Amino acid sequence: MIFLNPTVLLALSAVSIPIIIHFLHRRNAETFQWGAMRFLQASLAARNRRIMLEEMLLMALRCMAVALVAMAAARPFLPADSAMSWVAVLPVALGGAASAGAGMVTWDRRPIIAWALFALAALLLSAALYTALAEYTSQEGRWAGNAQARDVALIIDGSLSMSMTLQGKTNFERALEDAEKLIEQCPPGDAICLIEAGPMPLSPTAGPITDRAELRRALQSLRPTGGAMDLPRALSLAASALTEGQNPSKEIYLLTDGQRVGWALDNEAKWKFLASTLGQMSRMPRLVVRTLPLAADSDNCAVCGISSDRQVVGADRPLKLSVEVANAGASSVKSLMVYMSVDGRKIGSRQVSGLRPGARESVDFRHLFGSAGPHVVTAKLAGEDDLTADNTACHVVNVLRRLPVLIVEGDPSERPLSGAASFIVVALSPLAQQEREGKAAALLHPTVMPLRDIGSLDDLSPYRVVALADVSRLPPKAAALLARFIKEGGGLLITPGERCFPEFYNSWAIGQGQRIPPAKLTQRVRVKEDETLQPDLKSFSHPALTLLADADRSDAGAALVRTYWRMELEPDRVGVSLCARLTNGAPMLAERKLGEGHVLMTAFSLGRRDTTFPTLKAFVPLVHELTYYLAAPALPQLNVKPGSQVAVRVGDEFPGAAQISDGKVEVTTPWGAVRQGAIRPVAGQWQLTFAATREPGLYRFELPSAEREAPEETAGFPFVVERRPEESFLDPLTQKDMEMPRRYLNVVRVQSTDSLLDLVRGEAPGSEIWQRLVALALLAALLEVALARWITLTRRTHTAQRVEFGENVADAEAVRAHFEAEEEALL
Amino acid sequence: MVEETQPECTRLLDPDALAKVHRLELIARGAVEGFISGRHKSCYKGASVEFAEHRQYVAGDDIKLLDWRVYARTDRYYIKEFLEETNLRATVLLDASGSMGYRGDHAARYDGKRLSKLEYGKYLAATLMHLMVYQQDAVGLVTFDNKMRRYIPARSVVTHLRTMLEELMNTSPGDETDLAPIFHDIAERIHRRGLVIIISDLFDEPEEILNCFHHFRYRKHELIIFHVMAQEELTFPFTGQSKFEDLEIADRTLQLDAGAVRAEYLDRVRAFVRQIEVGCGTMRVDYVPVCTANSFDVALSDYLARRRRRAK
Repeated sequence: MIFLNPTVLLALSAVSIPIIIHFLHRRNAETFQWGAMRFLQASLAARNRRIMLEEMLLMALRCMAVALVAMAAARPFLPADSAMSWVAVLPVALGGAASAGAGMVTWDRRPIIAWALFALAALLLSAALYTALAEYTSQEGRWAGNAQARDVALIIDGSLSMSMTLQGKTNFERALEDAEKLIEQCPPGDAICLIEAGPMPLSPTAGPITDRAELRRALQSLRPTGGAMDLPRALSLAASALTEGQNPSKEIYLLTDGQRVGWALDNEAKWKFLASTLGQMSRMPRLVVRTLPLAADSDNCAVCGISSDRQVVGADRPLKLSVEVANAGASSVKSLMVYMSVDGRKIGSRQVSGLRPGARESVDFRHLFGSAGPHVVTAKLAGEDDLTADNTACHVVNVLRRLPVLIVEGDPSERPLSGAASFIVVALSPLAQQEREGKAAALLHPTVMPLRDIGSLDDLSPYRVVALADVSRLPPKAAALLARFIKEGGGLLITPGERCFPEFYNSWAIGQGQRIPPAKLTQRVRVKEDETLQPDLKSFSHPALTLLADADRSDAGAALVRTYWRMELEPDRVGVSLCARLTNGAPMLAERKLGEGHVLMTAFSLGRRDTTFPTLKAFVPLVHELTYYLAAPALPQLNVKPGSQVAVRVGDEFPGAAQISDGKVEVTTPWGAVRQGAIRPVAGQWQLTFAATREPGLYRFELPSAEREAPEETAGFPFVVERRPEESFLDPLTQKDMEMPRRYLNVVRVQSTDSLLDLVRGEAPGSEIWQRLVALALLAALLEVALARWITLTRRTHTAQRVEFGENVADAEAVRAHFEAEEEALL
Repeated sequence: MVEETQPECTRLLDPDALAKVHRLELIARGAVEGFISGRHKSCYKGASVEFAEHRQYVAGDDIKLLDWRVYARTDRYYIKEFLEETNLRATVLLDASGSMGYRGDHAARYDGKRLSKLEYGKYLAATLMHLMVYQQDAVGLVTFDNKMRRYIPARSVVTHLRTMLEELMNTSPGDETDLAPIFHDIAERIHRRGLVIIISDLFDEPEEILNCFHHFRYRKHELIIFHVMAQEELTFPFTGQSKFEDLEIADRTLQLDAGAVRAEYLDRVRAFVRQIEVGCGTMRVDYVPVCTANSFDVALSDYLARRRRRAK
């Protein structure tokens, strides 16, 4: 807050007028000789405190009224982006005036209090004046118009929340209107660069331009991206665009709804980097933030996301799909219906009830996919709300046709189920071939290879997972091949038995000592006959063991361990973790992340010699879950974050890929636009890549499918760019939040179009508030009158009756007449 | 109006004082004869008389007191004087403290001048004394402020009245009120049971004062309290900033917004008066509230009339 006529503030000395009047009034008091002093003193003692308080209040109000008039005369002005709040000036100054008045009242009764109040008044008035003058000084010149032509970066928030309808219009439409006015107000020499700030900011003008018609066309082409704004990235783009401009003066305008998401307030390093980028210009550009009104009482429910319980999905068994829904609105939702569809066909619905504001809840669906290939799972909320774009979410599930697993048998046996790999094979492929017929195609395809044949193996790419079943050691070639396989995303399961050579495993490494197994095998331990050693379910912490850790449903805890390898994990090694223990505390399962892939190592073989695991129900799920887990990293990521590159390989199922010769594949965006992706042949397949994942939603590589009769929604190869669920929650940006950006950039925040345009024209944005101060002065005067009246009523000044004191004998003649009449009556 | 004879004692007084005493006596007598006389019958009338001496008749003596036997024997007029005995001994206690000096704007006027509470009390005392002497009752006078200033024991001769009137005229407002020790002292000093008339504003602790009254009653005295208050003390008509100077303690002043304390002040005075009134009623003490705004003779006759009615 500043005063446009600061010299008029001298009129604040008029605060002394009521004080002087009060003083004179006291001085000219009429003097009376008085006898009944004892009653007067007692009365005063009883009422003194109250009288003093009442007089202090009255005097404070009078002084405040005068101070308000004086300050109104000094033309108080609220800049749109005031560094010093009016709270630091107006109430403080009024407090000072009130203290001065109250101090005068106590002057001859409590001199100490009077002095304290005078000191406080001086302090407060000085503080208020200092604050106002300091801001006056700091603001001076800040708004001065710049005669030079400018390069202006105009950033428009393209986040999902900008599409929320508020009073018949979306904030995005408001932002476009403001942008048009801004362009209109900019002098013709100003070059303007338009940037849409979505998850991946984009400049449709490719640098600052002066052609207003083109700018307007670019403006009309914009639409909300549906994701969250990434402001630091948008500012970086603005910085690089401004650098291209030729004008010496630079400015950045941001039109946003003031939502907190997207400001990267938890990442100070980004702002520091931005400051250094923008600081390289001749003069740090000013960042003007125009915040549009954010709906405070909206009704909005959102699908925050869809997740599945495992990443490796086959057509052999159902998949659990969890849909997280949230009430991002301001009022409770009694009932909410969630529909789920797969490839456009509805598969079920669930009802969520009693969802409080801000609450999230997860609903589960189970679905068995009928065919291999990518499937689009869509979750949709019934009904309409203020923000419909977040009522739907998509998720792509890539159903695998087959998952080949190579099992290296280290302890072959002629007898059935006697080898180390026998039970693993049975677990991975429990149904006999003839039993499979007529049922869903099995996903897992185990291939058993004796150890002696491993040396002839040249390529592991057909497999997703390799299991070493009690393998003593690997030839160097196979060991190196396997290490590369893991680094490229393959999975390795090591189950050491009595045949294995610990020396090999303990020294198996690649490169500069990068070991492959997650732990060293130190000792082969045989459990005594009278001892019982079992897996400790409570220690199962690995994601693949979640099913088995449930003691109510799993019998894994009942397994008896007869012999095992004592494993020693490397302490504090990055990427190594202990996943499960035995009941004696010894490690049971350890993991190492290596490159893109994972290595899991058990303390015993999964044959019948070391443990009774193969006899338990939990054995099959254990082997399956470990295999799925190890196979997952090699799968293509079809649900990605904005800006991530999508890369998938397709084969014969998309014969259309072979017809593409120019290396470009069309990609349809969520808004129906078509962009270019890349396609190239890799190892007999086609690798599709796409990096321009700017908007959240469902994308498709446009490839004719061989297997399907192409309904619209199932054509091509789909993938999803995920939306940030926080965007649905309209968490507003506070003044405190602005502190961090202000530390690094010259940020000016305005709340209205007029203030924005004032800034564009180089004028000080803000409003004069003298009318409000005059109104306040009148209010103070009215309050003073009301208070005085109330005090009179409570004091009963006019209603207090004289003391009844004997009979009224003032009229002597009447008394005389009365007596005479009485005499006559007696006679 | 009867022509006054000049008593011996008054020669010692200066003319001004004498004039004042005259004035006081005239006022008292005027009040008694002109207004009260004939309407009051003493409840304390003496029963027997004893011959004392003869003296020569002087003009103005009552003819019915002439001793016709001596006249027949000597052909000279002699008055027969008696040593009168009465069962009534009255003592008037006049408060002459500083607070009694208050002279409000509403007090009754005499000679165009507003009466202070003390002056009002003096007239009241003089009238009562005259009335009682006129009825051959013995009357004494005590004036006091925070100490006893003068104690004149009760006598019934006319010359005694003059002494007391002189004392009254010479009494001026004194220091701070401290009633209780004085009253206790007087209660002890008056040996014979009699009538005690207190003329005061009673500005002291009401409990203490009532204790004193109790002391008087314990000594078998009949007690009449003329509670003298000024109109302003009962209405507190002041407003705005006012400065009050204490009449009792010099240099003690109180500046305040009079309107702010008016209700509180009146409540306190009301409670005080009520406490005294109730206390007096409990002890069968005659409590006579007198406001200086009313003419003292009217107030007195009003009281006497009420008293007579009560006696019937």
